[in-house]
Amino acid sequence: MIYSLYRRNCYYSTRQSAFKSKSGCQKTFPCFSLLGSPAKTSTTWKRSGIGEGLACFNAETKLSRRSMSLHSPSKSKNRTLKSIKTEHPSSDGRRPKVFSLDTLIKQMLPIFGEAFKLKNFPFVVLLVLSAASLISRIWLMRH
Amino acid sequence: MADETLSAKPEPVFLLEGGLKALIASLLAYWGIYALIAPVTNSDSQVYNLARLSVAERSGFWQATAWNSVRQVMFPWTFDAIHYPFLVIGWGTALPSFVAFLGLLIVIFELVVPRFGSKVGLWSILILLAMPTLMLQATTTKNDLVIAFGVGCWLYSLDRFRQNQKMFFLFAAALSLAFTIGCKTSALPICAILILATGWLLRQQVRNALRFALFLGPLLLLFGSIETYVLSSRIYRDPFGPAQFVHAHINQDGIRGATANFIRYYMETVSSGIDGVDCRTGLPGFLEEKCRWLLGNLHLRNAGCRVDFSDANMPFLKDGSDSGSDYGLVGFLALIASSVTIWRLSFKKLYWILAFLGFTLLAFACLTIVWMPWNLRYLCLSYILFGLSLAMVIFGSPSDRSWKQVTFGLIVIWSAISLPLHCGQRRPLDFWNAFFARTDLSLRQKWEMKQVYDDVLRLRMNHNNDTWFLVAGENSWTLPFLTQPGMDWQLTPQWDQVSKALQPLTESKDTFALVLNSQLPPNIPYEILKLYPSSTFILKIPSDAGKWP
Repeated sequence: MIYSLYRRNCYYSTRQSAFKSKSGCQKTFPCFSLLGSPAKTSTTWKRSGIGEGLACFNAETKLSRRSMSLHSPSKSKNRTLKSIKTEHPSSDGRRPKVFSLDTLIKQMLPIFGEAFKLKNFPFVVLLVLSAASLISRIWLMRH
Repeated sequence: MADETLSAKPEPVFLLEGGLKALIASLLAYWGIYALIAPVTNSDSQVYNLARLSVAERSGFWQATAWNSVRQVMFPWTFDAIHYPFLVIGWGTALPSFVAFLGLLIVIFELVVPRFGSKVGLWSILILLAMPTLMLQATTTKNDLVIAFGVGCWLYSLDRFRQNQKMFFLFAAALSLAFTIGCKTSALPICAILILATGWLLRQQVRNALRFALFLGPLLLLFGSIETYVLSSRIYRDPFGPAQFVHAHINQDGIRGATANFIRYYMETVSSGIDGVDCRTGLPGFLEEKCRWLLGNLHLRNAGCRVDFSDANMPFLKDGSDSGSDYGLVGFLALIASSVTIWRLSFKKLYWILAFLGFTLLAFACLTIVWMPWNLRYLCLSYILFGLSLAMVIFGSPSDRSWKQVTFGLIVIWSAISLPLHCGQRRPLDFWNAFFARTDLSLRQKWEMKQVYDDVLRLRMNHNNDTWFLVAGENSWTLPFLTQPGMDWQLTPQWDQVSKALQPLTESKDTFALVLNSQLPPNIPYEILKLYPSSTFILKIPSDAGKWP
């Protein structure tokens, strides 16, 4: 089970300096990078419905709320990843052969969903202001 | 099976949390609605920030003849340009500043809450909502508060990048800096330091540091307002503007000037929190007198001032207008608290670091920019840092409802609620004025322009098909005339341009000239139709004027 893998390989550290992002658990977490399932934004444990016993967890939300950082021993990272990949039926590393509109929408929805989260609002503002500025300046400089 | 650490309930928070959220939401609604409906009110935008957008729209950007103020050419315009669509539709001109302010609040909340809890996060926001200059800047078209937003976004992006290593956040950090650089000249040195700081933070991740640099380069080209530097270089032979102008705005007195400016800013910020439009308390005059006395005793008289100001002519503006406000009682308390905190030398405490950074920015402003009465808005970032430091010191302690928290909480709440009543330009009545007396609201900072504006509208009702020249000087409020729909203007800031334009005119049509803050023509015949103070006239030029030598 992912959950048990997670518990075995990761631990919480309240020391910010202990955070090593490259080998962080979030990289190994199934919800975002491997399963490709719709985003699980709940802050509580949930069954993902994709694999028996798989649990999904919005690590980032949870961490930022609790001011904790995740750290995983790098040695166990590969093993964790491998295990997760094997357990998940669609995570064989190959892209789907047929792209449908439905698939595309399913892939894009979480991205748009991210834009509406309060914590991402500053980035939305930054992107919108930048785009508006660029368009206006190009328009005003046209002659 | 549940992890205890993950499923643990959050710590009990301040009992008034719900009330604070409701208060913050109500205040933001007030300011947000104002930002949506208010016209352009501040003087700088009427002269150059937004006026130049109309000039560029009418005469083009890459020309050298239609600009009537050097500031229309030399200052970066990345943020100003955002207002163009709002200027066209005539509504919502303050929205870009307001959404940037909202973004800044979210950044602060997201950075503070994980470290100090939601109580400190909410009080931090409320403290900012209680500072007059911050709220005035958040609902105006000026580009001072957006610097704080850019810096906040940069920090937040790096924080998020540290958490999950997503490339987007590295891109966002680079975009924040590039955008901020393009917003204001004074942001250049700040962002240069932040670029170096980013390199330092990513020193052990060379690949990411390179990615950041690769993002930053093109983004600087796109958002760094390179075109204004190029234009300035073409017109004034200097990318930063005419040397004389730049020289006049840089502190030439070194440490003496910086010390004098620090004293001026410090004393200017002393606030009772109840000064309003009419400043009946007499506090500004009292502070000016004491400041004059102190500077005289320290042999710093007139050091660091702009050439047209001196200690004898040193108004401390507290009238709650866009460019004439302080940071209120809360800002003053934040400054005092940070002044005490800084001497504790608690290097590892975040509140000390914030106070230190606030004073560093303040010192930088004192050292580089000459003192002017409307300079307090340059210190937005410093006072945000002081406010956050104060929130952490007062509300960061575990004991709820200590006398300090209750007393200070009441001051903050009162200041935030009463702020619109003390503001010169954001009072509840202004919501009505925004619809039914829009011109009055827009021209309030320069009331004498109202008569000029009305007369021009009246004259143009009968003579709108005639040729109208706009001969505007350096500090002219051109925006109200340029944004008037259906009004064609020949932008001729120099009289010789008018002479040249008159020569090909063969039809016997009347020609008019609106002269704003400029001299009368030396060699063109004219009839004065209207005469106003500050070298402002409406002239009628005879149809045969083009045949004059």
